[in-house]
Amino acid sequence: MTEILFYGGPIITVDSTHIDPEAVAVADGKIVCVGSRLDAEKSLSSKAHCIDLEGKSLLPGFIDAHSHPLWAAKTRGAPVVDVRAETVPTYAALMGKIKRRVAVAEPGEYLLFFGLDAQLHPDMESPSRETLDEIAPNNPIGIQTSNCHALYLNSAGLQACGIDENFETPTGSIIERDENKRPTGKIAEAITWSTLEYFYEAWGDIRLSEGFATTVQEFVENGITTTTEHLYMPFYKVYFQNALKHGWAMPRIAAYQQATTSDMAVESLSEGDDRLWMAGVKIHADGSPFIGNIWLTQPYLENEITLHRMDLKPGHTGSLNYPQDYFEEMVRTYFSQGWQMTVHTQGDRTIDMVLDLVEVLLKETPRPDHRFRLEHCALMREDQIERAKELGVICSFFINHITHWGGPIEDALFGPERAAHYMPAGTAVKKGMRISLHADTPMTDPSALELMKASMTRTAKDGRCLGQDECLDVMTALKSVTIDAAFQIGMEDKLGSISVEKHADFVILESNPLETDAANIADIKVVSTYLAGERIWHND
Amino acid sequence: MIKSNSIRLPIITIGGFLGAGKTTLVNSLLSKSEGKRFVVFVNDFGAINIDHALIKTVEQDRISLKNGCVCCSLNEDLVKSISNFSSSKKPPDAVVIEASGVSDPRALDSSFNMLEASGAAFLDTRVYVLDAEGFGGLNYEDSELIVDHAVAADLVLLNKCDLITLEKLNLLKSLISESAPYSNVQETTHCELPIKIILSDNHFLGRKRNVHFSEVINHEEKYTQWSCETDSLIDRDSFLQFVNEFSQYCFRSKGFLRFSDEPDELISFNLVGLRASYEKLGKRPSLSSQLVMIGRREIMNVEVFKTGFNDIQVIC
Repeated sequence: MTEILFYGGPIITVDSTHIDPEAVAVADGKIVCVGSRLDAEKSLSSKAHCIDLEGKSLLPGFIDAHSHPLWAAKTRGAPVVDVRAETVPTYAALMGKIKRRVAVAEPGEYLLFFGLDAQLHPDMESPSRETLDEIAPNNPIGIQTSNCHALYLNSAGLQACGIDENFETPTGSIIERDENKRPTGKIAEAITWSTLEYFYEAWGDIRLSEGFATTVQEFVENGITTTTEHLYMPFYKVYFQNALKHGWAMPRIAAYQQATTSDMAVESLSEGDDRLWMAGVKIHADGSPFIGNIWLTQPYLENEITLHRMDLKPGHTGSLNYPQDYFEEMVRTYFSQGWQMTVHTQGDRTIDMVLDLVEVLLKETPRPDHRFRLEHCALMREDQIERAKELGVICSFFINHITHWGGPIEDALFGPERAAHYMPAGTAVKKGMRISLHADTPMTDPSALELMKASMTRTAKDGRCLGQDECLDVMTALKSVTIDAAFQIGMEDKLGSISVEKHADFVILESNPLETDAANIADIKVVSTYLAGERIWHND
Repeated sequence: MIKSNSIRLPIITIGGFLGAGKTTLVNSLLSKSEGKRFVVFVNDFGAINIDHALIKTVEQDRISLKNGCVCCSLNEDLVKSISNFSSSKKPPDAVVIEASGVSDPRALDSSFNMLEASGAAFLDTRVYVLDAEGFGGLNYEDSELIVDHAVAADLVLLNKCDLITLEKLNLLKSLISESAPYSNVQETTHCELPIKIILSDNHFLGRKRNVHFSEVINHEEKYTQWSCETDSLIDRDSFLQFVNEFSQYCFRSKGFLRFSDEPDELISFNLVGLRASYEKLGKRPSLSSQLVMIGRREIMNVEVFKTGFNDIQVIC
């Protein structure tokens, strides 16, 4: 039995019953004592391994409450070429990069590029099927947008994925077509992700396993000991099992199975000692603010970005992904089966619709502790937060939108008033909601410290602050990536704080985040990560 | 939290693959230092620190980062060391970091954030040295890595350009200019270029100049420097537009500005590549607005600048 004693530095328990203890004792992967050093020592045998923190801070392992680690490996790992605006700043540069890749491609090789961005590539055009055919006549080629929701294909790509004039558009998906019903090459929503599977499959399993190992490593290097696989699909299981079998340092995974129909069997899943389990169901109610398919009460702004790069019509207010009754039937089915629901909602009109539905469902099948989750919640209004609170609905905010796209959100998409309450985490907390924050990897990189910084400063890349009133204090920000995130995945009794009987999942930070300026929180070095009392990563 | 007993050191980073000419550039900077003192951090893979031995400066100003890549494990040492220099009794004029050939230049960002936040230093110029002769012989992965790294630089030097044909040089130039549209791309031989393009000159703050326009022909005739000064206030919007225009033609500009919407506040202006930054220096109403620009002689049209500079002044 492995026993460890931690002492010698600030211990931030995130548990109000144990503030500033001297030491923490761990035995057999669980926390057995939190308190004075003497008590902690007494709870262990003489063989316990003593770890002097030497002034560094011990915290509960971080929890990112909405992520896609396996899907991130598929989406971003090699041979996918990263063309996000950070490294490929313009559309012209992006096309140049694609041409150079095509020039060294094997005949028939599947080529995929990730990161086209209507908001951040200033000269962006919609890459047409014809343009891509000209560049790559002999290779299936796909360009995925950085928000993951849309994909541009050439003819070989459409053919390889079986999309032609006669292909019926699945409910909830978009296949853009010309007047003769011929696909233009642009597809969006669920069809994007099923189409991409053809590319991933063509590259084989070894690539994916290696990519997954790299992605998992990124999470633990950032001190994340638990995360979710939102949009889990049954065939994912083998990769997680493989990781556990080979003893990879993989965070605990709460799976949320993707539903696109109401007749799906949600898999019961429980592996290891809380290493992988089925936590609930994920359904998209609407899409991405960055491609225009979210449902709003007030229209988008009208400018070059919205009208040209995003190709929206004046007065555009978007729509739902699915016909409303189809969506409601899905939610009703899985909710009545007792699953926790996590519903992707960005536009305020979408949120109205979902809250109406929750109210009906709770009358039909009352459930005291349903923890119905709304995901991302970009344009949620204050009255909706109040209503959500009354219904027991909780929100997980994709706060990194502000750091990554804050400028365009204010200037090009929604204007200053809506930008000041975009991802309204502060209002939700003021109304008494237990919120979580997420990076939605692969959309943004996994880092709980970056989430904290984003929620505390709401500062965009260009230095502007979007809505000072919505900023969180450091303790609330910390809770939203530890104990409140644990609450949102239904694991607050086992994870999320340094408390007796919980799993011994920790992160050691070089300096104390409670005493660090908000602007510098993301720069704190992660020293070590522990999962079930075992050190799974150390920065040496 | 700006430490009162320290000065903010400008940091220059120099990146590039092995053999591109980084050490040559460092030595060139040192030889043209005009009395300025640089502290040089040399980063070298492997146990024998070859680059360290090649840097021509006094021993105590040459710090080698052995057995590691400056982008990851050594960040903390770097931050501590630079902070110490900034608060020392005789701080240097600038810090030069020669990054290892393979490190991702973005990985240094968190160190710079910490240094800027502590008030010890600020990132002045990021230079990337590219071996123009060797580039064509690289495989796809290596050449793309170079392109990605060049994007993160303010100034990209296509070095050893004398060793390839004009046709190849033009192809390379258009490839890099297209891929790194926000960087200045310069052709060099032996990394020869004026030091003022790389290191900003803070020394004219507070000095009253008599001339209102001046043009200094650099010792290398390719480059020219132009400066101007005015007691009038400057219209902020017009200035932003002016910067947009002249940033296409000059490599480097530095200045102090007083805007009409905030007349008491002195603003420090710094243009590196196409990256313009503005920083409030506090209430110093006695100082006039000053601007210095450096650019290539053949494309810098001084008449256009003069007219532009006149147009941005608010007539009281």
